[in-house]
This record gives sequence, C-alpha cells and structure tokens, in this order.
Amino acid sequence: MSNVLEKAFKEKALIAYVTLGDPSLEDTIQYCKALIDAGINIIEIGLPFSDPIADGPVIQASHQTALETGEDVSVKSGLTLIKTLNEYAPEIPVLIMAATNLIMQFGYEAFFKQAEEVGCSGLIMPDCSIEMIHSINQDKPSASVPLINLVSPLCNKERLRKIVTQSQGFIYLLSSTGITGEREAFSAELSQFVNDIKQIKDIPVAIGFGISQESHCKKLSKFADGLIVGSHFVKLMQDTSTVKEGIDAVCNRVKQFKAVL
Amino acid sequence: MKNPNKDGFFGNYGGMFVPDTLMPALAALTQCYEGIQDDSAFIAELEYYLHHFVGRPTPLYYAQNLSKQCNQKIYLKREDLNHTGAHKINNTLGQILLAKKMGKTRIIAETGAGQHGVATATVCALMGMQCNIYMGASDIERQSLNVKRMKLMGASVSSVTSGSKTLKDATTEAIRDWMKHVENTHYIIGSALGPHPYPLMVRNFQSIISKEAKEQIIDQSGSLPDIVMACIGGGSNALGMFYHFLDDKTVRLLGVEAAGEGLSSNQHAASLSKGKPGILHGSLNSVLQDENGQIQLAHSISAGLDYPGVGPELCHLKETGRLEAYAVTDKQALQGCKQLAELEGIIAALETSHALALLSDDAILKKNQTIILCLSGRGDKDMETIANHV
Repeated sequence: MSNVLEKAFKEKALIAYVTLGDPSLEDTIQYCKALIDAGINIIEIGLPFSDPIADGPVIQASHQTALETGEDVSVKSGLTLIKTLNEYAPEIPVLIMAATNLIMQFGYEAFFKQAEEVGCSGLIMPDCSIEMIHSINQDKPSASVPLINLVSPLCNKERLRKIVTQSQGFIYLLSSTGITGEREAFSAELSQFVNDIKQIKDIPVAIGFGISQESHCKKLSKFADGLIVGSHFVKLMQDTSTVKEGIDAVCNRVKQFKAVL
Repeated sequence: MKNPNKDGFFGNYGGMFVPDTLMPALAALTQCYEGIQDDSAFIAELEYYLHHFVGRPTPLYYAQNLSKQCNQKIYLKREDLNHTGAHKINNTLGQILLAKKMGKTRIIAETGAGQHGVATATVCALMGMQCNIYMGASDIERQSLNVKRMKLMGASVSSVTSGSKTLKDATTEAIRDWMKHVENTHYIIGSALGPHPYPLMVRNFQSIISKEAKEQIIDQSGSLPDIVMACIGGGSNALGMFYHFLDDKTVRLLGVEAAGEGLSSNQHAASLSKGKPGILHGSLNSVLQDENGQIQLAHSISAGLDYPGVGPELCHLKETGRLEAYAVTDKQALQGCKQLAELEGIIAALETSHALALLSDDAILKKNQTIILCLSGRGDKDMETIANHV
C-alpha cells in the first residue's frame, strides 16, 4: 500500500471527489489546490465518461460539462493533473476514479506503469466487480498502485471476504443508495458492516454516497476511517455563479466537515 | 461453446462490469434462472402463455413472389405475427415469470423504438406488476404511438433527458433505477446485452424462434437451409434465429447491421463491423467509441438498431468466424421494406428491413439458396418514417 495513503488515514480522512475538467482543466487544478489548502486529506479525480452507470445525475451532468468543453479530459490528462498536484502537495494522496472502459482503452499495463510514475495513489473502477478485476489483474505487473474496491451493504459475507482479502489501500463502502431518511436508519447496519470488514483484514474503510451534512460526517466518522464527498461538492460548484465562489463554498464545507470528524 | 463461462464470458466478450450494488441481484437472478431450467411447472406456464397469449408457433412462410424476384428460396419466420407485433415478447414473458418467481413486485425496462417497452408493459399488465419504462426524450417524440400504448396498459414512461436522449441513455437510467430499487425491482433488458446472465437468458428465451423454424423448414423443404439471416441491433432476434443452427456448420449465419448513411460516414450503428472491444452497460462487447473510450452516438433510420454496442455472444460468433456480419444503409433498408410490401403484402419493421435489403445482394448470398430470414417485427410503428422517405 502506498505510503502517503497509509499516512492519510492516520486521522479521520475527508476525501473529495473532483471531476477532471469541470468547468475547465485550469479550474480543476486551482480547485484541487484550494481543497488541499482547506485541509482535505485525499482527492479522488473522476475521469469524465459519456455513459457513467455508477454515478448519479449530478456527477453525470458534471461529466457531460467536462466532455463538452472539448479539452483533453482523457486518462493521460488525469495523470498529468496528478503529477501537478503531487508537486504541489506530495503528502496528499490523489486517486483516479474511472469507468473501466477508459482504463481498458488506455491499456491496463500502460495505466499502472504511468500511474506509478506520476505518484497516483490508487485506482477506483466503480463498474468493475471483483470478479472482473481478477481478469484485469493478470495484466497488472505490480501492486504499486492499489486497486480500490467498492463494497455495497447488500454484499453477502462470502463475497465480502473475497473482496476485502484482495483489497489494497482502503475499502470504499457505499452507504445506501436510497433517500436521506433511509440513510439515517442504515447507519447502525453500516457500523456492523465496517466491523465485519475489519474482522477480515485491518484495512481503512471510507464511506461514500450521499454525504452532505455535518450530522452525516459526525455519525459515520464514529466508525469509518474516512468519508468521501462527491455530489454535494459537485453541486455546490454547479450552483454558484463563478468558479471562485464555488471553490470558496466547497472549501468552507471542507472546513466544517473536518471540524466534526 | 454455446454457454458463457461462470463469469459470463463468451470467449473474449461478456462479463459483469457493474457496480457492486448489483452483484447480489445478478447472482440471485442467475441462481433463479438456473433453477427454472428443469422446473416443469415454470416451463409449462411459459409455454401456455406463448401459445395462448402470444400466438406461437409463428408461421414459417415461403415468400414465393420475393423468391422469384431474388432467384432464391426465401422463407420468412413471421415474428411480426406475435402479439404486440415483434419478437420482443418472447423474452419479456420469460423474464416476467422469472421476476414473479423471485418475488419482485416492480418491473423496469429501457426502450428505444418502444417495441420492447410495449412488450414489457404488456406482460406487466398481464401479471399485474408495476411497470416503469425508461425512454429517451427524443424517442418519446419520434414514437408517440408506442408511448400511448404503454400508458394505456398502465405503465409509466420516464422521459430521459441526459446525454443523447436516446436508447443508450435510457439504458443508463434504467440501470441506475435498478441500483436504487434492486430489492423489489427486476430489470427486463430487451436485448442480448448487459451483464451476465442477461445475454444468456435473453438468447435462450428468444431461441424458440430457431427451434420452431428448424422443425418447420425440414417439414416444408425436407432439408436444412443454406442461409439463416437476421438484422442485428443488440442481437436478440438474431441470436434467437441462429441458436438452433449454430452446430449445423453447413448453414451460413448472416447478420445485418445498420450502416445508416454509410459505414465511412460515422453516421451508422454497425458495432460489429466497425466497433472495437470495450465495456458498455455491463459487458465487454464491440463498441462504437473514440480513441479515448468515450462512447459514440449511433445512427440508424430504425430506432431499434440505433445502439453503439452489440451482444457479447454475437461478438464471439463473429470473432470465431461462425457469423458473417454485413451492414446496409438507411436507403437500402427502405428499399427492402418497399419491395416486401409490394411483392408479398407484408410491411416489415425498418429494423427487419435491413436484413431484407441484403436479399438482393447476389455476390454475398449466391443464387438459388434456401434462406430463412427472421421477420422480427411489423412496420406499423414506422409508417411515418417510411412515408416521409419512400
């Protein structure tokens, strides 16, 4: 496991999702730097994809915006961004989240080689089940860039064991996909789920999906090692009239969330 | 190899490229589907409805005028005579019985032209299930009659306004809905696409087409055909038409894709001929995409072929040389439709018309062949488009 990632989980980690190139590549760089300055622990760079099945409408719209700019928002461009961010703040791990097809077309082997070179701390492919990762792993020369697996609370014990045993970096645990009310009810089960994971292997667990309130952060951080915020930040950026206002609004939230972790 | 491996691969294609949330649902579906293979009550119920509700077996009709015109012996497998006017209901009926068996109470589906949506709404009305159809906003506009049919049968139709507002976006939206409501909802995929076990399951439910056709052709002509052909969008009617002939190596299997405005125009839907291996909507298949892996828009005059991917089993059959893939343009398809209407008094769907158009290509077919062509659907839904062009 990458050293910076391990260190980032020494405290309760706040992880921000950022779409590459929304609204522009230059803005993405400034936005990430501002997040780092505001105290974010880990950044997850989402590569825009034309048909994201694993993302909700807010992030899909963000992908669409990035694709429509006509800028280079490819895997290569994502890796270049990571290099820039690593030079700015080498202690902040930066991950790539991408639809499997994007990595496949780039070439799995080429990806892992270049990702290691730029200091990418992990790869998340949300539409790649553990069974499919196995078929990809054969092309993967080393474990220098961890593949981070997603787990849903619907996962049964047997599969959970399989996923956790093979996992590196951390486990990305999905909260529920339902509405907010349901999520409140879910947390008791989620804490049990985190326990189950820890019993299998001592690996950090970060929870994501639908986190938008300090109360969520407070509650979930009691048992999670990290929290991932995606749509909430993306939406704040979308809802403000200038990029600067958006960045300020998100950084403000980062500080508020960090304060309750 | 006719069945995929345990991970759902037909050779190099297929798989289960879905978020973890859906894996338990796919496992449950696989288990339930395996369970019905020798469940005589299930099979009897399916056969009952296929016969009394759908109207099977469909005729294998010797098209004498068309045969004369083309210098071939052409038999049409009349899937257009099924209830709801296309082959789609063979699959929706099978899947809704499965959904019932799994205790699901809600059905969702994607649709392009609306044929699969109508076939789904139909079986939902029959079985008293809640039904929600995802359809691209552009398609809703183009296919308003089918939208009305679905609504009349009690389905709700959700307009999809993301992306290109067509079938691929409707599919994405349906997958998302499934992720949210996976515990009470079954997703009826309309073609031999998506994650395992869908490509296998849809093919098997559709394989009744070739099961009947094989018996019928031997009965009527005394031997196996030289050629079996079908149009290819996602591949459900093609695989259904090919399946029972796969092992008959003397039988040529011909698939006809949509070349739209021409294969060199970038305005086509010929995923088998022009795509490259990629992952779309849960499986590795032959996908129209740019060099970075972004999915490209497909184009065809027929909404049912207008999709940038194709079923994994067809990709495998093409790669191994068992399937010959061709493509015909919008213009040729319209011509094929017109020819059949004039010569035989049958108005075929524009999807099917792509296969019909290839009948006049002697270089590919050679003369005096015995041919079965899957007449996958009727053309009523396309009348406006046809009237505007012919």
